[in-house]
This record gives sequence, C-alpha cells and structure tokens, in this order.
Amino acid sequence: MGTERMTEIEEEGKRAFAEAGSDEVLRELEVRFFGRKSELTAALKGLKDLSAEEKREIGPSIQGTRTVLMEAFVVAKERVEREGRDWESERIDVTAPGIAEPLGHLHPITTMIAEIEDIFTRLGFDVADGPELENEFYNFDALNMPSDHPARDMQDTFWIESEGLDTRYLLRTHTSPVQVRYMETHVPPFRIIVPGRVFRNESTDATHEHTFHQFESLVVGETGDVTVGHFKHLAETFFAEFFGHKIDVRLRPSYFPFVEPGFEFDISCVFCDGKGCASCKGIGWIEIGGAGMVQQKVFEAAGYPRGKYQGFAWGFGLERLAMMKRRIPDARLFMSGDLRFIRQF
Amino acid sequence: MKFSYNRLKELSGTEKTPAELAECIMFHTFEVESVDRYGHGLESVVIGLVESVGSHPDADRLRVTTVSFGDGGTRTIVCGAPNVAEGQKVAVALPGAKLPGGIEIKDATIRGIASSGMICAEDELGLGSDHEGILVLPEDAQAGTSFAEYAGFEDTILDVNILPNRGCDAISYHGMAREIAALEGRQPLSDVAPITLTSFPESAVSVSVETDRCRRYVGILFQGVTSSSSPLWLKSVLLRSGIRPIGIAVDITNYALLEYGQPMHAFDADKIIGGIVVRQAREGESLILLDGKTIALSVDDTVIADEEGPLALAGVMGGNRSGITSETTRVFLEVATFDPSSIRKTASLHRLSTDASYRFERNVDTERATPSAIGAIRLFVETAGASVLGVTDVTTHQDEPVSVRFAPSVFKDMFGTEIPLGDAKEKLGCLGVVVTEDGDEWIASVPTSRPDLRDAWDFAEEVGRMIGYDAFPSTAPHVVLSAPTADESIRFGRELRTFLASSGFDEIKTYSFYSDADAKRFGPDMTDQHLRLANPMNPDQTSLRASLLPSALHKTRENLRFLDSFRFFELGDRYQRNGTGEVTEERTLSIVIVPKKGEDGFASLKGALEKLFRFAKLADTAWEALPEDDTSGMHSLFHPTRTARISISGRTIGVAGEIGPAAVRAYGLRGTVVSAQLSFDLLRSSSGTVSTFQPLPKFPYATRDVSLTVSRSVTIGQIERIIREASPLLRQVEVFDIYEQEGEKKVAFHLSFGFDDRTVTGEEVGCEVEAVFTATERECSAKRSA
Repeated sequence: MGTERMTEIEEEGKRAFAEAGSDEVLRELEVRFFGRKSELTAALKGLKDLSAEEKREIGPSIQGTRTVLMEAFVVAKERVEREGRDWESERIDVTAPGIAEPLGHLHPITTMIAEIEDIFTRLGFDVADGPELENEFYNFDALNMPSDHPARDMQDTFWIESEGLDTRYLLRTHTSPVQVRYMETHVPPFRIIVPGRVFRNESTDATHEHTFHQFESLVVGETGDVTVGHFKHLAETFFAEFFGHKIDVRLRPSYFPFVEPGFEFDISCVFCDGKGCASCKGIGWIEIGGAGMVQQKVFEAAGYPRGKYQGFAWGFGLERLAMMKRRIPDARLFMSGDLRFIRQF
Repeated sequence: MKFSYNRLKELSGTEKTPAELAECIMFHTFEVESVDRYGHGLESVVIGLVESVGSHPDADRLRVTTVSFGDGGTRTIVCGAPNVAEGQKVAVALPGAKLPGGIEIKDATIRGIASSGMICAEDELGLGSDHEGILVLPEDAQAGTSFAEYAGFEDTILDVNILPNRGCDAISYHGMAREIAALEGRQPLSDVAPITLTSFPESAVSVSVETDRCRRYVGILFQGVTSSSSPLWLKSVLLRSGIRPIGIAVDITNYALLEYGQPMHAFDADKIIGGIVVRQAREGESLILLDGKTIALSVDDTVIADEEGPLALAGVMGGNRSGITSETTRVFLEVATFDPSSIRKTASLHRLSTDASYRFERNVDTERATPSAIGAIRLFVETAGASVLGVTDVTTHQDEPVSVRFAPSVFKDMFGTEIPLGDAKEKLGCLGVVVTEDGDEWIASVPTSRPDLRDAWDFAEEVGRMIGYDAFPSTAPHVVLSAPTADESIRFGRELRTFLASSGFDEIKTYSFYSDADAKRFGPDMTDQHLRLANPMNPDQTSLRASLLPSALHKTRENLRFLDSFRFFELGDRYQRNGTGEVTEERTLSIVIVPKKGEDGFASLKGALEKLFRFAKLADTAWEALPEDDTSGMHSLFHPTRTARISISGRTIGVAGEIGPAAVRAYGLRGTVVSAQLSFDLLRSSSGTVSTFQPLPKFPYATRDVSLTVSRSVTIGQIERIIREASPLLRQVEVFDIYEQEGEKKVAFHLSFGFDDRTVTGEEVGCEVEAVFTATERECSAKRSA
C-alpha cells in the first residue's frame, strides 16, 4: 500500500467526518476508519513486515493520515454534540440580580488621608501621630503662644475642666503640637506629615464644623538647606500629584506664631486652571492653607539650639479639600454619621 | 480695621486705585477682606440754598421755603424745623430718595401746599441722633452739588485684617499710611508734629501712677467744651471707619484712636474727686461701667481711680460715674499706655473686648502718646471750642529704639535666593529701620512702634514680604535619601478600615463629646472617669466620650429613619481620667449591626469579628459570657446575658453583644441592635506577624459527624473544649447544627481526625469517636443522639 492510497483515505475520511450528522454515523465512521478491520489499522500492522527502507518511506504518511483523521473525528464529535443539544431549554436569565455580597464604604476623609499619605510617603515622608486630648504646653506655649498672646484668640479652644488634673488640657486646635512632640525625639534632617482630628470652639454652619481634620507637613534641615523656594516646590509637587495636573502655588504674607515668615497659600483654581470661574469666585485662585518657616522659638521649645536648623511647616483642612474635590456642599455632613452620605463614596 | 481709601490716600500719597491698593496690601502685608464702595444711601440728597422762608397759611409750625440748586432750578419745600432760615446751605432729599433713616421722599401736598423734597436733619441722613432741627452746612457748600460728595462719603472702604504681630504699628490710619508709603518705596510722610507737650502748664488734676502696668499717663484738662455735635467732616470719617458718632468729646477720642492707634478716654473733670490715681484694684471693689453693667474687680485689674474709688477699668472701658454727658464742660482727657498682657487678662476675665483693649493687648508704644495727645488737643480747641488748662505727663517706663545685630546671610538662607543687600537695606529704611554695617553684620535700629522686629528672622520676613514672595523661585531640594519608617498603628488602622469596608461595614465619624445624659447612663462609677469640657458649645456636647457607643447608638436611631438594616463602624479615640488625675486617650473600634429581618444579629457580629480576627492573624481568641459580677460601667448599655467578653491570650480586648433593653429604650431604637467595642491598640499589638510555612498534610483526614444532646446551660464552648481534650488525633472541629427543645440542646459536629505521617484507619477513628462520647458524657452529661 503506497502513499497515494493514504492520501485517498485521508481525503475520504475528512469528507465523511465533515458530513457526519449524528452520533450513530460517527460511531460507524470510527469503526470504518480506526477499527481493527480498517485499512489504516491493517496498514499500521503491516509496517512490521516491511524492510527498513520501505518503513522510512511509507511509515510517516500512515501516521500522518491517522493524526489528521483523529483530529477530524474530535472536531466532528464536538460539532455533533453542540448541534444536537437543546440549549434553549437550559437558558438562564443573566439579567437577574446577583447574590448580594455586602460592600461597605470608607469615610471620604479616610480615603483622602490615605491618598495624601501615599503621595508623601512616595516622596520619603514619615507619618507621625499625636494625641487629640492635648495639653496647653504642646498646643500653645511650645508653639510660641504664651497665655497672654493675642494669637490665642485666632483659635477658639475647647478647654477641659482642669480640677484635679496635673495640667491644663484641651482638645487640640491644630495638628501642630505633633511638631514639637516629634522633634523632641528626632534629630534633623527629617520630613514628616501629620494627619488628624482637630477642634475649634466655633458654631457650625455649611462651611464650618467645630470638629474637622487637618493635615500638616514639616521639613527640617540645617540652616540654609530648607528654604521658602523648597516649600514652593514641594507644595507644587504635592498638589500636581493630588489633582493630577500642574498646579501653581502663590504665597501671601500671614502670621502664625509658630512660623516666621508666615504665609497663606493659594493654589491655581483646579476647576478653571486659573482662568476664573464660580468655584474660585472669578479670581482664578483658591485659598487652601497656612504655611511658614518654623519659628526658632519652636525649635528651642523642642530642645534644639537656636539658629542651627531651619525648616518649613504647612497644613490645610481636609474637609475643605474634600468638599472641593467631591463637590460636597455642607461641611456638617462629614460628622453626620448619615450612611446615605457615606455610601456615595 | 475698616479704612477709608480717601483718608489713606491723603496720608500716604499713594496714586493707586482702591483695587490696586488692596492687591498691593494683600501680597505684601495683610489680607484685605473686602474692598467696597461706602454705602452712604444718600444718592438723591443735594445741597440747596434757602432763598426764602415764609409761613404756611394753614399750619403755624410749618414753613414754606424756596430752595435753589444752582443750575438745577428751585423747588418749594414745606419744612417743619424751627431753625430754617434764609441764606442757609442745607441738605435736601429730592423726590425718589430713600434715606438711611428709612424715609422715602415723594412729591407731596402738605396742608394744601405742594412740597417737592425734604430739608434733612442729621438723624435722617444717618449722621447721628440729632433731630432738634435741620442740618445747616458751612458756607463753602455749593448749591446743586451732591451732599454725599461734599461730606466725603464718596469713598471706598478697605477692610484689612491686621495680623496680631503688627498690632502695635498698623491698626491706625497713620500706621497703615506709613506701610503703604514704604511698599511704594517712599519714606513716611511727616509723622510727628514738632510740638511738645511741655509747652503747656501742669494740669490742675494731679496724676499719681502707682502701678508699673501703666507705662505712661498723659492727662489733659480742658475747659469750655461745648456739647454741640461734631463737625460734618469728623462724623464722616468716623462713619466711614465703622464708628457711630456720639458727641464731640467722645468723637474726638475715637478719631484719635483711628488716626494714631492710641486709645484715649475722656472723663467729666467735674466728677473727679481729688486727683487721679492709677493703681491695681483692691479686694472687694466694684465698678459700674459706661454701659451700666456692674463688675466685681479683681486685684489683677488696673483701674483709674479718684479719692472715692475706681472711675474706669484701665485700658478697657470707662465708668459710669465720670462719663461725659451733655452738661459736661470741663473734660479730663487720658492718653495712656498700659502693659499688653495685663490688659488682655482683664479684658478676658470680664469678657469685655473694646476698641481700646484690642489695641492695648497688641501693644501700644509709649512714644505714641505725644503726637496723639497733640492731635487731640488741636481737635478739642478747633472743633469743641475748648481751651487747655494744663497737661500732666507721668512716665514709668519709656520705650526706646532697639538695636538688633544680625548677619544678612539670613536672607539667602531663608529664601534660597540671593537678595541684593542694598535693596534689603532700602526696604527696611522705608519701614523706619535704620541699618548700619559692622563688618559682615548689620546693626538695625528699630523704632518703638515695631516691637515685632527683634531678631534676624524678623528682618528676613520684612525684606521677603516687601520684595514679594512671588519673586522667590520654586526649587527642588537636595535631601538625604532615607526610607520612611512605617508607623505600625497607622498601617494597621488603614488595613483594618479597608477590611471592614470590604466586609460590608460603612465607616462613620462622630463627635468626640456627648451629653451629660449619655455619660450618666454608664452609671455612677463612670461619672468621675469622664472628662468634661470647661466651655461646651451646647448641652449635647458637654463630656468627652469615654466610649464610642453612645454616639453610635444616636447615629443608629437617625439612620433607622431611612434604612431597615445596616452595619457600620467608627475607629476613633475615647478619653478618660482616673482617680489620680491622669488622663488617657485610647483608640477604639466601635461596630454596630442592625440585622435584617430573620438574621441572627449576634451570630452575624460574631462571624464578622471572627473573620476580622483571622484577617489580623489573632491567635488564641476566646469568647465568654459576661460574668455576672461584671461591674464595669462601660458594659452597662449591653444586654447582661447576651453579651460576650472577648479576650486574646487571656487579655480582655473588648465586648460584643446585644444592646440591652434599657439602652434600646433610652436611645429610641427598635428591634435588635448588636455592637462590639474593641481596643484598637490591643488588636494591633496582638495581631500576628508574617506566617512561616508549615508542611502540607500528606495524608487525608477522616471526618465523622457526631451529634450530642446536652442541657441548655452547657455551652458549645465547653463541649468543644472537652472534645479537643478527649482526642489527640482530632484535627478540626466544626459545629454544623444547633437545635434547642424543651430545655435541651442538640449540637452536631463535623470532627476530622488524622495523623501527620500516615493515613488514619477506620478502627482508629472509631476509638477516637468513642473517647469523645465518653468524655462528653462524663463531663457534661451529654447523650449521643441519633
């Protein structure tokens, strides 16, 4: 039997498998082409009687035909099965709801803190933390606000009834007390961020909440190593990351006792790129927070020698930023505990 | 402070428009809160000349006048004022005018005579309370022109937020004008009038200063003060600066306050008995203030007194006894300087904040009294018809210019940019700071009005802001490379929150305080452990929270209005004090579940917590019923027999259970509410570290179902412990069914047995199951059930 015959069998078989329309026909074809009495099986058996040269000549074509036909058989079998099944009777309604897996929602301030922490930690900052129930020294005195300082009026304070306590406690009015707490145990250079809950004894309205969250950043190095120019750069870098596009930062003079010089800082309006819109009241800039170069008296309160170090601190309210980014109209929603609000984020 | 743009322009010589001036101040000195046209409300008020005055045919008290308005013709106006006379210049409100006093002017017929407009009195124009007669204007007023323009009301007001460190020099027209001139690179206009106080005779009222809290006291005695009202220009400046005119003596002190930033006080000299003594208040003294309130004085208060006792609270407010009245003709004017911190103490003790105390708190230098006093004297003489009887000037402490030595390298160090030193010196010069050089160092001579300039950094700030912070380029820092150290507690907090959210819990944040009622529900033992606010905002927020549960329950009630079932958590701090006065702040995880209908709330909570414990890799957690003798007030909101105490390795980390019926009622809840309160720090410190690999079991375990019936009082925890102890081959225990009936409880377990090094045989498993039956029967009378 020669290779010509193999080609014929192959052609015949391929045609037969392609035309097969039922399981019965397929079974017959299986016997006909692969059965013990089939021509192919006989040819395979007959190989052993051939000379080595004949084997080399005809062997591959017999094997090849068998492989091709086996593949044709498998394809035909799958096709017959697919075509013969009543798929419609098995149909499910894929638009029916899934089995509910509960999903909770993080508070928008939590999400924002994580977002900001991630940006700063990528820039090599440590995250520091401090108590909300703070004492007078860290919240005021160490930050160059002795008790007779008019600047204490800038921050209405929730004081704790002090009877029987070792010192005067309060609910921290800003996250800055952590500056001194951190410096007491660390030596420059360092760069940290401090997120946290702060309190002001002010009545609440759509833009004011007596309990809110602040975020501040402190960078300290040797004198001359950490400058106003560096602060501008860091602020621009941070806000560009945070908003996802280039942001300009503008400084205006201000006063906070724990920095000198002190700044208010504005960023170019993130909604109109500084062209002027309703969100920035047409001026192209949005007032974001306070900043400044660390007062030497603060370094001294932390036990650093006067004049050796220099640094900057800056911070801003998170609710304000969240309100801007998420278009939240009322600051009181953050502490409302209203799950219908939380579930939007 | 509200500044009149026109006055600032006069004093500073600026050519900027109001908007330009505001922007300049914004970027170099202070925040400008607003720039607004002054709203005088006098749009249709025009100056008129009374041509003739005739009587009204039908009314004795009315006059019929003819008033001319230059090119604007003449009008007939009926007027009721007794003082109207021919030849007067008057302010006429034309028909259509809406006056500040609320009157609307229309053409009218008054007792048969057509009247077109109204000749105005002071009060109708919003200039004061005087309604005795019409306002008669000086001769120079031009008929037909706008009254508002004549009176200086066409002005723009800049509301400038003066920063606390510039309180000494900038809360006044002269101070702000000096600043504006300096920003424009000019020396200040002549600040000080070249007159001295020594040219006057000694005052007849003696002054004795007995406290060093009064640094200087200038007393000026006037006679012949008229009680008439202030001239129009003076009222106009006061009104534009937001101060209501009162009477001439007080108006002059207010004007001087605005002009120089020097508070003054005018006494009725005839009410002063003996001389003036400036001293500390004595125990038991009291004072009736100008506003009629009586205050009990503290020995820390400084008072101005006479022989009879205190006359005024020094630097804060005058007293009733010596106040100026319409009968006053002799005035004793006080121009004094007080110690800032003592004024601050007094003002805050008595909760009085006045224009005077505001400035004194921010420091008024002793040098200012002289020019201010001379300015006031000139006004009393020129506008109040007064003459000076004498002047007394007592100084206990004199402010002197201060020299500060510093290295100008601070500029480059601070801003990262080279600043030409000549520029810096010139900028400081414009501020009145004279710089001389000494080698590499500068010696700056600082005027007394700038106590905020005391070290190198102060000067760096001045130079930096005058140049403008925009001038300093943003530059990337060179920093030492260091890996951030991860704060475990922050990392764990983030993981915990994310885990809870993905397990279906919404995160809320609530206030750190609650009401007295909330605090009291924890029982009397807890009362002393609560910290309280000394100055709460409202009665619902008086105590610092010692637990997050009350707020969680309030929020549960509020959410139940809109939602039937939900689960939420808060990760926040609670605060407590102990008997020895120590305070603690502890981060707490507070969880609430309001189960769905048919859902077993406690089981859901326990399931969620067990998942949490697995997530946090907490080993050896145990749940036990709250002991009957648990007296902790913290647990008093929970149901006594449906609450578990949870511990890790024997240490309690919190509780979980149903809210008790009393609390459900108290917080207005309905149905079942379950909650857990866990210590965050204990969760974190017990949480496992990175796991190491354990060899995988090679041989399959054999599992048998075992069903036991026990008395209801036997807990599943007990049975589980007995089973585990009974069989050394036991690898896993799982409860798959619990059924309670008639005081009995049937519990079904899947028990898996196995060896680590070979397959367990059926026979061996049979023995183990027998051992389990025997042990449970012996120890808790368990019967094997079918």
